[in-house]
Amino acid sequence: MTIFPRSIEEWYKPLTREEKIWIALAFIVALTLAGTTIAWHFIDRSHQVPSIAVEADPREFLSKAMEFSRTYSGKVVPEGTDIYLAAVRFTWIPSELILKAGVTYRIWVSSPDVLHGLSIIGPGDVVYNVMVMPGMAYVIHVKFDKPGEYEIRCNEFCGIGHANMIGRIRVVG
Amino acid sequence: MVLPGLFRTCPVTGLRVHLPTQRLIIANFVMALLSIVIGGIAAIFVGFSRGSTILVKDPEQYYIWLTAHGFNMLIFWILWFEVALVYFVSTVLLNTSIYSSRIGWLAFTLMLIGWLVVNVTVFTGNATVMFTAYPPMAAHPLFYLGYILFALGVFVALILFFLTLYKARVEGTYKGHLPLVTWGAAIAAIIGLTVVTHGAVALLTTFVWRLGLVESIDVMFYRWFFWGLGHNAQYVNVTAMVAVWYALLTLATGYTAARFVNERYARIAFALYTLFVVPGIGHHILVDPGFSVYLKQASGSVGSHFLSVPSMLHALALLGGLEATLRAAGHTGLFGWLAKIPWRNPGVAGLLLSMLLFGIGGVIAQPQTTLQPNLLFHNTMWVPAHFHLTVVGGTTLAFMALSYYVVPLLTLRRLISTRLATIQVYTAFIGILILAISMAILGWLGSPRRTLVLPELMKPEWWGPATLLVVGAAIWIASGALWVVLMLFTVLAGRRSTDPGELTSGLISAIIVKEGAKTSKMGSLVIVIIFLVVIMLALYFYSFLRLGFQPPFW
Repeated sequence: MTIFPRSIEEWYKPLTREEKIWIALAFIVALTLAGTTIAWHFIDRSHQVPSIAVEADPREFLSKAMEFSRTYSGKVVPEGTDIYLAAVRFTWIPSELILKAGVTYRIWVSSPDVLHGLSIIGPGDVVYNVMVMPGMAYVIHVKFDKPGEYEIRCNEFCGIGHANMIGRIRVVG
Repeated sequence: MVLPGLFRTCPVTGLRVHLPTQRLIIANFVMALLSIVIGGIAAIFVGFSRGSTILVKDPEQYYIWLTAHGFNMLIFWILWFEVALVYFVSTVLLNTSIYSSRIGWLAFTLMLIGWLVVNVTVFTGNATVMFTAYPPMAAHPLFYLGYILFALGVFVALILFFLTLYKARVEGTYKGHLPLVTWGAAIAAIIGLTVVTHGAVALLTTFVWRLGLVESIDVMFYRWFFWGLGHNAQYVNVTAMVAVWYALLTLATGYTAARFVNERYARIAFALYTLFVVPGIGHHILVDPGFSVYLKQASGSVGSHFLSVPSMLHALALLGGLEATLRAAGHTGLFGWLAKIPWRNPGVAGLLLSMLLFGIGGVIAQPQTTLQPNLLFHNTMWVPAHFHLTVVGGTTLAFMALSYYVVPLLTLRRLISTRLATIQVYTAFIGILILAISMAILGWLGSPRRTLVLPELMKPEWWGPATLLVVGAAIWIASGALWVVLMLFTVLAGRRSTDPGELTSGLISAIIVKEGAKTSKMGSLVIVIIFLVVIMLALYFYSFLRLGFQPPFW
C-alpha cells in the first residue's frame, strides 16, 4: 500500500521482466541522447553553439558598435570585416546589416546595459537563439547561403520596450 | 506526549489526524489556493493578450501580469501546496503529530510575509523583472527581501518535515518502513533543500547589490545559482507530483491497484532524482557566453538527459500497476485492458491524463535541453510549451485530482459533484494540450517567449498559433475556475457526512481482482516504448537534422 507504512518483506519484491527491460532501455535512451550531442561536435563543425566569448567593457563595446553602424549603414559589409552588434534597451546597433550570401562573417555581440537575447528568424523556418550578456562579447560565425531577409529580435525580457527590439539582416547575392 | 483528545480518526481511511496539524495543513492549502487564484487571474490577462491583445495593449501592464503569473504559479502555488503535502504525509500517514506546530506557524508567517511583499512589489509595478529577476535589471530591494523570506519559510517548513519524520521514527508511531508516498515526498524535500541553498546564494548576493553594499554583480554567477533555485524547484514539483500519482492510483481504485505497484522499483526511481537534479542545472545556460563548452556538455547532456530516466521509470511503475490490476481482474490482450480503465473516475482520469501531458512535456524537452538543438528553441515559446505541459498539465492537474479525494476527507463534507470533477479533469487536459501545442508551434517558428507581440510586430505565420493559444487558454481557465468553484462549494456547502461510503461515493472505482491471477505489464511496456523511446528519439533526431540544414552558425 503506497499510503500506509509497510515492512520490508511486504515491499521489497523482485523486479519483473518488463521492469528490468525498461530500466535498461531508459538508461540506453539517456546514453543515446547524451552520445548524440557529443558526437555532433565531430559530425558537423558548422552547426554548433558558439564557443568563443571574451570580456568586453560595456562602454567601449557600445562605441565600437556605433562606429560600425555609422561606417556600414546602407552598405554591404565586405568579406573579412568583423561585425559589432550591440543589444541596447530597446534597439539593436546597428539595426540593419547587409551581408553577402555565401560569405562567412564574424559577429561580436554584447550589451551595455542588461541581459538580452539574440534571435535570428528567417525564411524557411530558420531560427537561431543565443544569449547576449552585458560585459561579455559572444563571437559568432555565421554564413547565410542564400539571399533573403532575416529578422533579429530580442528573446530575453529586457524591459517595457522589449518587443520593439527588432532589427534586420539583409542577405544579398 | 500528545493528548489523545487532539486527534480525530478519519472515518474512511482509519488514519488518525492531529487537529493542530490539520489546521496548519489547511492554512498552507488555503494559501496555495489563493496563489493559484491570483496566478489564474493573471493567466487570463497573459493568455488573452499574447499575440491577440484582446485584453492588455500596454506592455507595462502586460509584463506586470506576466511576472505575477510566473511567481504565483511556479513558486507560490506549488510551494504552498507542497508544504501542506509534506506536513500531511509526515503526520497523518505516520500516525503522529507535527514536531512543533509553533515552528510550523513560524514557517507559515515567513512565507506569508514573503508572499505579501513580493505580490505587492510586483503589482505596484516595482518589480517587473519576471520570476527569474536576472540582474542587472533591478527591482525594488524589498522584492528580493520578500523572495528571500519566502524561501526561508520553505526551508523552515522542510526542516520541520524532517524533524517530524525523525519524531515518528523514534516514538515508533508506525511499524515498518515509510509509505511510498511519504518516501517520495522526502525525496522532494531533499531536492527542496538544494533549491533553498542555491536560491540563497543567488538572491542574497542580489539583495546586497541592490542595497548598494557591493558595486557590481556577475550575471552568469547569478544565472547559474538562480537556476539552482528555478530548475530544482520544478523537480520538487515533479517528485511531489509522482508521489501524488501513487496516492491517486491507490485512492481511486480503493487501494486495489497499490498492491500491484512494485514499490522497490518505484523507490529506486525516486532515489535516482536526487542524483541527477543538481548536475542538470546547466541546461539553462547552454547558449550563454562565458561558460565553457565542456561544462555545458556535461551539465546539459549528462545531467539533463539522465534526469529524465527516473520519470521514465515511474511511467511504467504506475501504468504497469494499473495494467496488472486490470489483468488480475480478468482483462486480457496486449491493450484490451485499456478499454477497461475506469475513465470516468476523476482520480484515474486525472492520473493518466496528468501522466500523458507530463510525458509529452518531457518528450519536447529533450531537444531543447541539448546543447546544439537548444539554438533552435532557447527562449522561444517552445520553452513555455514544455513547462506548461509538465507543471500545469502534470503537476497542477495531479494536485487538482488529488484534492477531490483529500478535501472531502479533511472537511468531512461530500464532494459537490463527481461528474463535474471528471469534466473538470478532461477540460483541463484539452485546454492545456491546445495551449501547449500552439505555444510549441510558435516556438518552432522562432517567436520569443515573455514578449508582448503587438499586432504590428507580428510575423504573418505567427497569427494562426497565437489565436489557437487564446482558445486553449480560455478552455483551461474555465476548467481552473470550475475547480475553484467545486472546492469552494464542497468546503462551504458540501453535505456533512462521516459515512465512508457517502464521503467517497463516485470517487472510487473498485476493481475486483482474482487472487493469484497471472499478471503482466507488457502492454504498458509497449506504450512507454512508443511514447518515450520511438517518438522522443524521432523528435530529437529531427531537431538535429533541422539544425544541420540551417545556414552554418558556430
